[in-house]
Amino acid sequence: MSFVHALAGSVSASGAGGADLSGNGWVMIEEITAPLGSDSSSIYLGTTTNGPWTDYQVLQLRYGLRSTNTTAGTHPQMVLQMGHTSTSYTSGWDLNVHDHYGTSLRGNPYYNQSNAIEHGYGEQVVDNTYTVPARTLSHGLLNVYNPNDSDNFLVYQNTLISISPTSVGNKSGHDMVGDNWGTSNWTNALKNIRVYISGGGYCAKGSYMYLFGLQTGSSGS
Amino acid sequence: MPQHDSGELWYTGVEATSDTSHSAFSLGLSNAYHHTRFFFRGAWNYNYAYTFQPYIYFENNSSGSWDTAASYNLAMAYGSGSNNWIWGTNRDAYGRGPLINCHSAGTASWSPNIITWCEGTIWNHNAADKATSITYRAAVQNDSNQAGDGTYSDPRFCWGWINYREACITTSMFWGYSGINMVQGSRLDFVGVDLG
Repeated sequence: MSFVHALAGSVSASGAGGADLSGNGWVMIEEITAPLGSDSSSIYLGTTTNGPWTDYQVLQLRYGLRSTNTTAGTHPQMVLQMGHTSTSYTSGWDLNVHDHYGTSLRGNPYYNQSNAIEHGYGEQVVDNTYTVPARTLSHGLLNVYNPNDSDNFLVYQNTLISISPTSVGNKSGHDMVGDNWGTSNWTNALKNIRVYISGGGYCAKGSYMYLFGLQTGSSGS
Repeated sequence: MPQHDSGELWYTGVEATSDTSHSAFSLGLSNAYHHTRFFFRGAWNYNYAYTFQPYIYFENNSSGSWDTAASYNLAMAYGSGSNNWIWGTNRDAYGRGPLINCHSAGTASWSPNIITWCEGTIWNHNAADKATSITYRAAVQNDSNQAGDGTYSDPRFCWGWINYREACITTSMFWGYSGINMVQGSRLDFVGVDLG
């Protein structure tokens, strides 16, 4: 099927227009977890139940994560949970994972999952099996679009860069960048976010978790 | 180095208020900023089983019309699962944006799981001696288990760039497809990169 495109009309802005220097933009909402001063004894990196964050069109979670795991051959992974009720987390996520793992390109869709991110496939984090200090954290950036809408579904996208030496201990290479994206099956304002490690170890020293928001000051419509 | 209040500041945005309100988003680019980041979410209000891309045009220095000269180069990498492909054009009369998927509307909101996100940057749009370029990343979600509306497309990812070859102050951007609307709730926001 082909489309014939006809460009309509002259330039006219459909948005609010004009520069706005009043301070709207990306603002830090919450330091959910300051960089850990020492290894934790918990798998949980951080939790916030301070939503809904009604002033923002996009939420952005910036985090760094490493596991204390020292067991060669195991692959800890990060799990992302989000929810809309009280302090709980909500299932019903349809998502895709896609990553570059060494020289491999991988990807899969998953449907009706319990958590927004729960597959090591695409979200493995570095751990204490590795010994190069400059590569001690996996760094992630999560965007949540439409976090306040009770008519439409949440949309999210997460990129995790997880680089480790390619041959340390008994563990195979772990040079990876991975994407997750998907939607909720529910239409409620986001209230709760939590990140934790699954599959071995606790959150290691230096791990952190910040929440930012894109403040627009208007609906813009 | 500047130490005052600089950063990434939102300055305009537009949201489809119904399934028929917008076939395109046309937003002014503020010359208060060198670069503008953008954030998009949405889908086409159209019963079609594949993704397709919005046309992108720029306005050259408040000329009052969209530039449809052969001024656009672009390239895209895209894929699904472990498959990936590339595509590009040279000196076209339009730019093309990311893959956006479709759903036939009939509701006041998005169908379950049929949605596109995109984030990117419009570079150097306020400099008369520089060409404007866009870089972006995007992906579409489409759950085949939920395709009760007759649409289906693979969940796909893409990233790419568009180069507007004119050295000029670029004053507006067109993002859309004439005759095909975006579903209610689709939205595009512009965030200026304030260098202080």
